[in-house]
Amino acid sequence: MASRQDALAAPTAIELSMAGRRRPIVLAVVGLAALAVALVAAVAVGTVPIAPVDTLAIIVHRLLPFDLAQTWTATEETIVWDLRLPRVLEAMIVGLGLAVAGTTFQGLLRNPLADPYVLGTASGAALGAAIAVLIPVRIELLAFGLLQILAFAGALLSVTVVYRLSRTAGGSPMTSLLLTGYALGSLLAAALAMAMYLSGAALRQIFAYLLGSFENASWGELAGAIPLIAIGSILILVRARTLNGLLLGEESAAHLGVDVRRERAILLALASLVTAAAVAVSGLIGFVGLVVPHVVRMLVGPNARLVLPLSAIGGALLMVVADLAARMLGGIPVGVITAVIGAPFFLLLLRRAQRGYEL
Amino acid sequence: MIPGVVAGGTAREPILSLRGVAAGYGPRTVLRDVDLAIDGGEWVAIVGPNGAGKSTLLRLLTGVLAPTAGTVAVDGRPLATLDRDDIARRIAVVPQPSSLPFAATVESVVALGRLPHEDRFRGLRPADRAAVAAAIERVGLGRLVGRDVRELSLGERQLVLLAVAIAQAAPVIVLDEPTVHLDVRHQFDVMDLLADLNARDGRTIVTVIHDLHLAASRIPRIVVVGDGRIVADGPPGSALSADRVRETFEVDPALLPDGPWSRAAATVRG
Repeated sequence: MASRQDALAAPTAIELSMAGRRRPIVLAVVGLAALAVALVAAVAVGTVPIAPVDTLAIIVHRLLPFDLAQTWTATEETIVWDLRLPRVLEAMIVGLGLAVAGTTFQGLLRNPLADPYVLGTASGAALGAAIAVLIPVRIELLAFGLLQILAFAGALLSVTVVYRLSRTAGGSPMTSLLLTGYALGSLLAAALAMAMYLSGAALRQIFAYLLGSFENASWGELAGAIPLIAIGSILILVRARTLNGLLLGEESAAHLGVDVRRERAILLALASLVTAAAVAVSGLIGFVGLVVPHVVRMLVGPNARLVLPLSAIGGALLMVVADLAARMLGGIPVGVITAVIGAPFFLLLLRRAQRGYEL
Repeated sequence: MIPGVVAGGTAREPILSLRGVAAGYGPRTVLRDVDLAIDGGEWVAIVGPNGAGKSTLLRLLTGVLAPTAGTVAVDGRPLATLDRDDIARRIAVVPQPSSLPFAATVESVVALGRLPHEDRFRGLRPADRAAVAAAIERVGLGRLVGRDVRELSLGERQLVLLAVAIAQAAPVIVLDEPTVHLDVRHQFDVMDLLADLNARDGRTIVTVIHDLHLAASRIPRIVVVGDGRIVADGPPGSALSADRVRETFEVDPALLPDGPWSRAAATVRG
């Protein structure tokens, strides 16, 4: 426990803010370096090991007009370029999106337990996916199958319904949003359970979606997911100011110059769009969107200008590493890995956080 | 009101004004016929019993509640024509301490006061950081700058919120019962700080306050709100007479500690 004596011996304001200002930059550099290493390792490692040098050479060869001496086989090129690279990039962009959306929902709802799925996105997407599996129609829109399309639509539709319903309910807008999200989520979960009960042989397919994976990643999927997640995340980042204002509550945010109603609607829409794009391509992967923002806040404090970009890096890193581990362990669902890596790390940080950390 | 025009016998234009204002929530009208003009550099207390409309008056003054009739203006410009940033650069509000969802240091909370001045893309600049450090020193929390606000006492948290308003650098500071959770020493600290901000910086201060004794002994102008109207407005001696206290607050002034109501009561009895 920190006492008054500790406070007197604590660093001065100037020392503290100097250290505080260097730290985010150090963390960003370390995080990006780790992400680069993880990306290359994740592409190189697999049932067919490919030397990291060759992995890089194949990527460079494909991307840039350099004439490299070909030291790899055509099969290796297919494995790297068509199978592993889209998968690794999808893990990266989904991890990034979920962490940014999680930070946004936690800040908007002023609730440390909020995650990207809190307003019904997960149950909406899951029900959409289950319906897609059950109806005997096969549609392709660009590279998206019916499952991705319905999961995406289900996620957005459920958030829209939650938002509309909560606006007519009384009480604090944020509390009624949370409660409405919980109620609608329960209803959709019941519908999902019914769909699974009726699904027979298709149960496995629905279940696979619920667990989440990057197995079906393709360049086509990425072409849809990357712009949505990247643009959504950037638009959220330029609204960091709103999330900061909300730290003291909605009315205080208004007094600090934030147009709360408008900004709240915009941020909810952006974070929901990012979440929907992520769950459409990857299924439901928990933990990243909840924990990464907290870990980052413990390291740099609550300023959303720092928390958002660092969470993006952290979410991408955690997801790439988790998917690599999932593949190496013979195809364990990636959501299991994110929890197994994330939970102990989070607990360790909770214990070590010197200033205490109440939820 | 047009700048430069002599109004109400004074050449100065009020920094805050409410004219013919009514307000409420849904079908319920809470305030009506409110006319109030506050000049730059004044220190005004808003007092009144619970439910009389003080908080509604405060929410009108800060633009989070729109009037159903009449106009609320700052610097002669109706609040309805200003966006939130414009209002925040003119009026800072000190709310009552509430809980924070995340751990946050004193410094990072006080930095929120710079939001209305901050660049959307670049965030805090060195001048903003200097203003934050100065505000923290001003309220005497320099030694707690790196501490988590949630570990502080209520009195210290009230000072943090005051520092946010100071960092905001608005000419008007509006406070919602800044002394209500505080022990006597902290009450005096806060009143001294407000007096200093008023006298030395020339900031206009409007504070809702429950403690009539504290208000009468420290604040030069008292606005009494009773049953949705302004029922008295003036120096403590006239605004807080024995009759006024008896009628609006429904207490026997003899039961209160000494104040303007005791002198008036004595006159009445004599």
